[in-house]
Amino acid sequence: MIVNLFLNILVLFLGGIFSWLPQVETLPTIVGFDIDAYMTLGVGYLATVFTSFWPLGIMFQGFLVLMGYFLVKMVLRFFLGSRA
Amino acid sequence: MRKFYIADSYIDNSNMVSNKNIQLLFIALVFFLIPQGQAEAQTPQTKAVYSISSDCRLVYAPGVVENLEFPMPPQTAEIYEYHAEYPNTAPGGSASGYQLIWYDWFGLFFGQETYYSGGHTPTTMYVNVSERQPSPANNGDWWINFKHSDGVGGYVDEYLEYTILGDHSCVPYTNTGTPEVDPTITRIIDFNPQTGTTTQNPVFFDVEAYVAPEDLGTVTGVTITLHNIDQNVLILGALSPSDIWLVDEPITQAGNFYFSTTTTIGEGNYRLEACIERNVFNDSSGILGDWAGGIIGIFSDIDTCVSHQFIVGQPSYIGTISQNLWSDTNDFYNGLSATSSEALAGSCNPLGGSFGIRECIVFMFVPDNNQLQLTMQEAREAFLTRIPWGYFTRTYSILSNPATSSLPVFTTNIQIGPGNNETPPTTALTFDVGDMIAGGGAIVDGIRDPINGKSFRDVFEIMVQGLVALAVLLTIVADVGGTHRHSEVSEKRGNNRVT
Repeated sequence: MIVNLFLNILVLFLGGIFSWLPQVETLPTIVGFDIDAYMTLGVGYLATVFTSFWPLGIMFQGFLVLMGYFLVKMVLRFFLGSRA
Repeated sequence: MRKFYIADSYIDNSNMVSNKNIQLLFIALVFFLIPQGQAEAQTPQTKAVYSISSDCRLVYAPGVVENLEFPMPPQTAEIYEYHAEYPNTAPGGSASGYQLIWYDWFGLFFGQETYYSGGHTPTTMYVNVSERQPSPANNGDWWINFKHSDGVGGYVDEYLEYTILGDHSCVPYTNTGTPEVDPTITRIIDFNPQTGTTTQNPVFFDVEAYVAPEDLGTVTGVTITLHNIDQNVLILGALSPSDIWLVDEPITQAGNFYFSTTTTIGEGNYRLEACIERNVFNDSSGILGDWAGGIIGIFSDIDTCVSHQFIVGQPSYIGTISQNLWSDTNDFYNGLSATSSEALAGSCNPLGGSFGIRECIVFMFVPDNNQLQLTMQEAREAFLTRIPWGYFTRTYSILSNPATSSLPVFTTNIQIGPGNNETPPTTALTFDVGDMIAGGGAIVDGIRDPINGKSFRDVFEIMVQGLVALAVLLTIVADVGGTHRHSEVSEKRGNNRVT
């Protein structure tokens, strides 16, 4: 009860603070390029390929892990500079 | 394990004791680059997704069902109507009818010549099993038998059991003829072996679950994990090599889920845990991968688990003690919280008849599973969809959307006649990329070991995972090493320039 109460208060608080911000329904369209539509279509393609042929899905997961590593490395370098 | 409702949701508190999220955190940290340790992972058999609706219609999603048989009723009765469509298999068409008489049993055969020639895989189907003319004689427990091909010339049986009530509505079958839980909510219906049973090898495992359509976005899968208690008493449970994931099946369709397998395991004491995995931020497509999806999932993962304890062959002394301790702990815990929050709230009223300080403390501090889910969803709606982080939420939603898009088809016209002809004949060549990939996947998955029946995927998936994980690991190690060498070289060059 108390844990739930704290969580609800937190959600209420954050919801109240940010309620003035507009809600995001779709990703924006930039210079005629509908990012939301193209991304949805692209992910649909990926889902089709990975569903049909599982080794590609595993390779893609490995690719994402690798990209995650480089992202972390990039962030560390940004904040720590040459000490990273 | 007692089951109960809170606000129309099925709650089981066993997951609170096991602290699944902490286990997941450990597993994600330790194994994020290592193939998952599924000691004897099994691929569930091909199955149809079906359920019985409240108006006694068989709700069916496409699957490889070859025959349907209906049982002999208590006495001659009528089936209201049936309808089946199989447009994707030549000769396409449909079959439907009304007022069929049930003499012995009634069957729809899709793989034999009794009713329709050729092998058919029905894409849509409904069978209204209630009577046109109401008659009490047809009330009671019924079943429909689905026969699936086992891939080696035989059949695997599945049963959908239901009860026709006096008002001619239908509910899932139970021993008492009345549903234990609301049939429309997502839940583990049952799984075996049951608690307290002693069985012999080979052991039959099965699980039946139901996923409500409205939960399809947040329910990510059904799992069954088998713990050998004899070994786990000495090793941390989450990292024990003796844990066997019998089922780890993602859920992509609403309705009934069924899995069964028979396997030989060592004698001793076991605990079997069946879980419905829920995730408020659901990466149901798996595109984000085990790693990214798992990390995000930790923070929004709310599982519903049920456990059974059983013995195979001879129990061990330590195993029996462990089972008894676990049972006592869960009985104690459930004794405190196995009623609704509203009921526990009464224990905090010193003037009430059910006042109890222990129950009151539990009520105040132990979070309610259902409430946690609601809070997570509210949090998402309240601020996670707002600018600017709403763009990340939207991106995540797109990435985790399980919907597929048909791959583009390329067509090109090729001249096939002589070059000096003014109007040379041409032919169109069409490349269906989706069909090619699907065909490749079907061929790979269709290869089976003739001895143990395991598919190509069963055998090689773990190897492919291992190779990919190794390649990623080596790339990272090489990058880290190369970066250091590069730094040392740069440092030396810099020093040389200075001197």
